[in-house]
Amino acid sequence: MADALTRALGEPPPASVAALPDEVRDRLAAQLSARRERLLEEGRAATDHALRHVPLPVRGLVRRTLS
Amino acid sequence: MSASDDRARALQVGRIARLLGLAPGEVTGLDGVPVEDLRTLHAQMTEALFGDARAGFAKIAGLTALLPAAVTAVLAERFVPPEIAARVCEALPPEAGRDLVGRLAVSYLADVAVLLDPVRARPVVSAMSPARVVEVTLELFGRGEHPVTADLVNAVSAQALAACLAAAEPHDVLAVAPYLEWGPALDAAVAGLPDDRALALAEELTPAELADLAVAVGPQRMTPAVAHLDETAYAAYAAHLPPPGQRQV
Repeated sequence: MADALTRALGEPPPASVAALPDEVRDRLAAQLSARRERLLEEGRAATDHALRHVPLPVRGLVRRTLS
Repeated sequence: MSASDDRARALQVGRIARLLGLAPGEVTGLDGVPVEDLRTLHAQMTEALFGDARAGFAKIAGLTALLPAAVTAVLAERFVPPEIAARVCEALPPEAGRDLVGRLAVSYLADVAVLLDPVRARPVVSAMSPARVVEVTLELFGRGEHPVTADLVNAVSAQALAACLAAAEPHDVLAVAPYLEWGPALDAAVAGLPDDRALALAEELTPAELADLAVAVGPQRMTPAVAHLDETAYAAYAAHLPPPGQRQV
């Protein structure tokens, strides 16, 4: 079974990274997963906030683009 | 392992930390990993974080073809987080990217610049106008982001590179020099450095700082600046230079 870092990356890391101690790879995997969660939250919040400020004439276009 | 390797590794670890939204000290245990593998890891992490959203980024980038760049720039600053804007910039055709970044506020553009993948963004960055590159470079210097600035200017046109070097304050030149990739464009920019800037280097940097700069760029590239030193200052400069065998460049 693939390790946590390989799963988080979606592919095996370079050999020198794969050879690092488990604790280093697991920490990198956890940091990457945490970042992804934060980005998803920030993206949702930013889009909700931003659409309120988009000029009316182009709001529909932007909404369709982002949907 | 050389100090140059250590700096290159620290730069890559810093990029990974920035991508992860962490301080460089929070990414540990990568000391023995080759620089190229750190670049690969950064690219893999970028893909893991933003790959699924690439279609969405492409749509945002596509707005540049549908709306005036000025409108797109306002929209980007208002609702595109810098992390996403950086990925959009990397996906833009160079001409569209140049038009868009020409209209973004410098502070926002600097926010984006620190998050750019220098390899993916090279087409857009190299298409930026020299004046715009200088503005962003000076903003990044003001933030103390010298390694990131080096990443940026390593990708700009030769003309923009020369403009940056001519506009940079002497202590910023000293701070960024160790991170620069030396090639024909940078050599030409140094050779063409206006005399007043060479004089500023000689006047504002101490002999010890000039020697540090010489270690980073190579003493042969210091001629325009040290030509302005008087005999005493030159002797002090020379005394600070390491023996030739210990120089990095």
